[in-house]
Amino acid sequence: MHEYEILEQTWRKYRTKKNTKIAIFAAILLFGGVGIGYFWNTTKKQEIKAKITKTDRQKEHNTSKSTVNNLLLPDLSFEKRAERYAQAVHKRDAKRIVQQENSKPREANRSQKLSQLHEVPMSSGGSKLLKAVSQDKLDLSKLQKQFAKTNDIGIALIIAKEYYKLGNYQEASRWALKANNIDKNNEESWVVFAKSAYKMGKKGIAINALKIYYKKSHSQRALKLLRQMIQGQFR
Amino acid sequence: MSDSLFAQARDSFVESNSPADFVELESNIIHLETLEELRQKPFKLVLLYGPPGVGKTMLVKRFATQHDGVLLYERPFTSVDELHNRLGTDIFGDDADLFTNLEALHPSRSKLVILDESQMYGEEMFEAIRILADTKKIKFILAMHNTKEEYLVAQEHFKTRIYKTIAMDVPDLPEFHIYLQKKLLRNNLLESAKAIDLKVAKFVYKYTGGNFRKSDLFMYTLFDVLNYFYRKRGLNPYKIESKYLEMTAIYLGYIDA
Repeated sequence: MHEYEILEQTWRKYRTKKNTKIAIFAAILLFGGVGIGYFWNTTKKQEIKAKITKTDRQKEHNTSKSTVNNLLLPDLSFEKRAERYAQAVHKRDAKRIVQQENSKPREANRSQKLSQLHEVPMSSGGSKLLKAVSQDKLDLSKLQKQFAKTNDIGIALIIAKEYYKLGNYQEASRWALKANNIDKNNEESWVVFAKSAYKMGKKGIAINALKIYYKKSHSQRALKLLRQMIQGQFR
Repeated sequence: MSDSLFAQARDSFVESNSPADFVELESNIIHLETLEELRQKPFKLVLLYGPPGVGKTMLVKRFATQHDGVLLYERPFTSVDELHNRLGTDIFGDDADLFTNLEALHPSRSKLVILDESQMYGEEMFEAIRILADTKKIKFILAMHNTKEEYLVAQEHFKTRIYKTIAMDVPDLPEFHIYLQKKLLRNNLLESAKAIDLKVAKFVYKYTGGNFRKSDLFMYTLFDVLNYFYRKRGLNPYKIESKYLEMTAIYLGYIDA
């Protein structure tokens, strides 16, 4: 055999070896590339998913969903605090009433004023007393006295609202609590309390109160107000 | 039967020492012009150095054949006496005493002597050359492979006597490509020259490093292989497949198969 024939055979072996190496290298590159691509894609998807979830959560947090989520684990400390606060207020008021009753001229005057209130004719719905109060110039001290006598939740709420309107949020919240102490399911008392607390800068307390009430009542009004407060849109 | 195109191409790369086979490349022409200029200058010594296979010998041969009176010694002298005797004979005639005749020689008729393979010389020979150069009657061009050490030894020995150094280097790829094509064109092998495209030149350059001697051997072997398979199987004579380039590289030991 000619030496160049042998050379050709040697070359064939060499080529086969080289081609195999190239094929392996190409396969590594290909699979490596695919692997990296897959990994990258998966990571990207996860990132996007995580982003979406985060955004959703953010949205939920800003809207009703977060409220519902949070309602699963309500902070009931508000109720306890509110209760304690209401009892203290009630005790103090009771003391005042006793003091007032000991003062005779005052009592006469008070009876006269109350009789005036009772004389106000009643229109459709609502108590005669509340109507009378709403038509009056809203003498808050008079109303407070009236409340002391009757312990009427309606009077407490009117006082609370009036204080709220006047910008005395401290008093508004106090009277809302009084009303709430009379009837824990009274929506107005929760709403006025929450609004007053919010206005005083106690946003957390306000939101918590509304969450508690929403959990109890599923009130759309409370939910709407809660959303506004969470989103900082409440004015 | 006439030779195949491959056989003719192969024969173009047979190693030749003939100055007629000198391939004029741009860099070679520049060096040749430098030597031309030096011929008129009253220098003592010039060093021409470069790695093996860059065409130093061909350059000085070409130069020597172009000019009468330029003495070129391709093989190194083995002793100082041999140098003296040979120079005496070649410059002044048989059995003439070199030094006596040099004294009588007019400086305007100084001789130019080129010593190739000067890297072979030792201290004693360098000293003899220095003494002869100092007579100002013989101008020396010492051509040597540059291992750097050899160049430095020569430079140190001759110190201020060196008028100029000419550095020759391996050609770059485009120039190398031209070299391969010119070798074929010189023999009117236009089609073969066309077959040597840049890809082929690049392959050969990769393994020979641009060394002309090695490249000539590579090309000779390549065309010999091509000629063999052309005769046996009939190949396209105008194309050089990478298979045969690789076979040549394996044959010459550049590729470990």
